[in-house]
Amino acid sequence: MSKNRSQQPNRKRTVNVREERKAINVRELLTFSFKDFDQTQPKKSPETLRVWSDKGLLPKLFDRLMHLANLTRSEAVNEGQIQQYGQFPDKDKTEFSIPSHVPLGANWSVIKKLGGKIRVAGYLIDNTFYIVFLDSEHKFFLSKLKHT
Amino acid sequence: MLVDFSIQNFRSINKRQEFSMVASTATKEDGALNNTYLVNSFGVKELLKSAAIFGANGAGKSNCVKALQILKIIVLSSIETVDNNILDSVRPFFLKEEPYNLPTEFEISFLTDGNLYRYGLSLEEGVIEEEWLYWTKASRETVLFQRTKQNITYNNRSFKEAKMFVKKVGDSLVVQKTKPNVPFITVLHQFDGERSTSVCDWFRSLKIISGLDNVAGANARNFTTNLFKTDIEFKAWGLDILRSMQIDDIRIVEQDHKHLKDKIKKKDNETSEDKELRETISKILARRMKDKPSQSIEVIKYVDGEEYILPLSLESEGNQKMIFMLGPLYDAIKNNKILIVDEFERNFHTLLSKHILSTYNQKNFGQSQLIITCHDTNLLTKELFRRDQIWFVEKNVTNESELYSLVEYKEHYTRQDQSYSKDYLQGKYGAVPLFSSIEEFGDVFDE
Repeated sequence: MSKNRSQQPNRKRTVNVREERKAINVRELLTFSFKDFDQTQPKKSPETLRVWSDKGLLPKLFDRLMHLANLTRSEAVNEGQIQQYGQFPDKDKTEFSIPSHVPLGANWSVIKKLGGKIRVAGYLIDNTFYIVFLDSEHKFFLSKLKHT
Repeated sequence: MLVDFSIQNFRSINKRQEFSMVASTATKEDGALNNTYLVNSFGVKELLKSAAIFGANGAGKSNCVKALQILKIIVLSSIETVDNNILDSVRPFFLKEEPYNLPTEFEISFLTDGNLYRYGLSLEEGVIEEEWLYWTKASRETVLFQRTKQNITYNNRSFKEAKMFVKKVGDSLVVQKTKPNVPFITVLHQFDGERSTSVCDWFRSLKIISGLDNVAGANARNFTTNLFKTDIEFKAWGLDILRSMQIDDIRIVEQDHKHLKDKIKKKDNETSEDKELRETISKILARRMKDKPSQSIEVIKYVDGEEYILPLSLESEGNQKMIFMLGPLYDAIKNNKILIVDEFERNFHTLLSKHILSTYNQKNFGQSQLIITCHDTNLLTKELFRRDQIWFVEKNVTNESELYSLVEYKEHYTRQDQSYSKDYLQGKYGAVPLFSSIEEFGDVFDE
């Protein structure tokens, strides 16, 4: 019995249906880069290493980075230590703006668990977190105030 | 132009596998690559200029190329070799209980003469079980003919060329002058049928190189040598590429085999034994010289103002391969042909491979296409290819080759770096050699 050959083929390419497979024998740990580090924002009160030093936040930051450096990217994300936003926050949701030296389409993310509202913002490529902003006042992604 | 191609039950391929040159509309990465052609008809927006198939050794990359090669041979050469049934050389997938439980099938779609054709063959036990040809003039596909064994139905209006080659037997139409192992399209082409000639001419434009030591390789060598001799435009184009390999010029030398004949001249006092020996040697030489090319390539290099002329055999194997590939590559670009190169990067430095591929994509404004198979993971890069141009072949758990594209994978996050090779080598896309551990691999050599 011959097949029906008359059906016009759907020539649209199949996209985004396969999950990447588990990498073979590799547990790549997070690394950090300061090549795009920006100490000029937010404009009203730029967050610099000196500001963080004066606030006593640098030891906390180093503790966090040392802890994260023992995790893979997916472990850090799954444990909620890094939150991935993807897009840069909308203008009305942030007091920061994208520095011109950061590539377009970067996967914007923040490091959390630094105590309260403190964040470190940057972007992820593979297993590298590119630190771009220090954000001790939670101005990178402004959230609505609770209990008001 | 090739649109898509599917293969079923052929060598390492069991279930139907599909390869497509249709550009994905979801891909946003074309950027400055200029890797697509605008079609905007037949339901196809764009076609890809090139594609690369990656995979481990023995995964089945070459079988994808062989499938195209055998289909081309069946369509173009079945009539010439009626005594030697080409279909007998079509091997199914053997690693199953019943290798012939599925017919071996090939189906190919292509654009030629302003129409989209879809042609297919279904083969069983050395005969053609089914053959079909459809075409699309605007948007709707119409059948031109559909053959089941020797029975046929055809389109009276659009495929009049079949009329003289079918006969009514009972309620059915039966093909005439067509053996069970010969495509109907091939027979009609012999009699200059309009559509069948379009189809066969397209198959003729499909050039396949798999190694330079075989017949196709010898053809490529002779073709390139001849082009260097006769086509000034080609020579200038080729030398532009060869200068990066420190080759400044190419000279074609006619081979004179006469001096060999002179050496076996008749002696004055020749005995009957001498005569017999001389005639035997002459025959052997004549036979051997018949297979030798009548012209050869010499390479010219300028060093400190001095000209050095060297036989091509002194160049590296990579340089020799590059020189011999220039002809088919130029021909494909200039005459809108499709060039398929198996193990493209063999003997090539990565940078040379990248240079050829990027030159091809950038300088090729016509309708030619280049499809390669390769291992070099350095070519898995956004600099050269969009995701829909990258294909993988992998053997699954039942040892069947599976063909899929990188564009089928979900992109979990934006990759800012240019390369996919790291993820590929880590096995995220499959299609890599399977060593359960490197120690195990080393143990084999230690024993």
